[in-house]
Amino acid sequence: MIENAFLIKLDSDSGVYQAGEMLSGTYQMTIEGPVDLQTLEVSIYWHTEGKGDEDLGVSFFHQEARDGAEGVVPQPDGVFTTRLPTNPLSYDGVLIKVLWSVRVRGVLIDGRQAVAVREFRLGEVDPGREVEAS
Amino acid sequence: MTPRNPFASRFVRPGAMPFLFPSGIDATRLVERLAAAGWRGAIVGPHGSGKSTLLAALMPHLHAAGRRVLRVTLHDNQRRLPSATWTDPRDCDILVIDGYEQLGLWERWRVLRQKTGLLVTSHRSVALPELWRTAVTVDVAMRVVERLAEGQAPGDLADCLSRRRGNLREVLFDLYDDHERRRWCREVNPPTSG
Repeated sequence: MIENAFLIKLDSDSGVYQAGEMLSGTYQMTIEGPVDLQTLEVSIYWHTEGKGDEDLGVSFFHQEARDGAEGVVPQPDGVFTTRLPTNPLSYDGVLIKVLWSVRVRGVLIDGRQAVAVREFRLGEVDPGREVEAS
Repeated sequence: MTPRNPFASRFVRPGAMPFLFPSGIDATRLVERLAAAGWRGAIVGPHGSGKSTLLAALMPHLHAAGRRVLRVTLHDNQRRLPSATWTDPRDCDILVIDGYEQLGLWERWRVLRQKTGLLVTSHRSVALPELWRTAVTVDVAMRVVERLAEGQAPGDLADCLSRRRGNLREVLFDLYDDHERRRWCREVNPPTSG
């Protein structure tokens, strides 16, 4: 797998979005030389990280496939836009964190995968911290 | 970018972390040993000693050996297999049960009667050939933690492992908490330069 294979830019410099706000961005492949893509996917999703079970939800998914019904040839650069949901809000807690990301994944003709992930925040919830029992 | 805790579930769960074999043995050899035992065997060891991690390491090798695998993971004193397990056992060559000791006696008897292969994990010896016995040594714990924390293993890891009676999963949970506390301290009292 080729990591950091795309440069993902978001329309918010701070990378912070409010619940229900529009998110737009661009992606551009950073691999040098000509690249033939079999498929290209853009996903916007949240997942949890922490000490226990993990969870994940996909808010936006767009795929272009060379063999798809539309007969398109996936391009190594493009744009995406979506309205973000109202929850779950990003959260940086001790036991659990909720993280939002844009992921671009391309499958090359030779079968290799090219991936890049760009994190952003949904909402501005203060981080959670451990407190001493009184 | 939210700082990552290297001991979060996504990094330490079975499959995310490789099983560290002692020298002279590897996943291929264990699968050969399982085949020699008629595709029936048990991975035995205490809580947090790497049974599920070893199972995850064996999975691709079972597939590579042409086995059609049906894997069931049992939680919270689940005394019976999910009913879907029994719908058509001919669809699989080997039934893999993680947490076999949780099954009731009747269910175990039912499982043992199946003609398919059987690979289980258990805290205690069961009525199956013992394929491997897992145990966590200080050296293994050190290698696991160094791999996760990019070489930064705590000096008292041996004591931690002893306190947790060899349960590496619990040690990794403790390290998760330590990491969060240190991060919090750094945010409250950021290091000053000069």
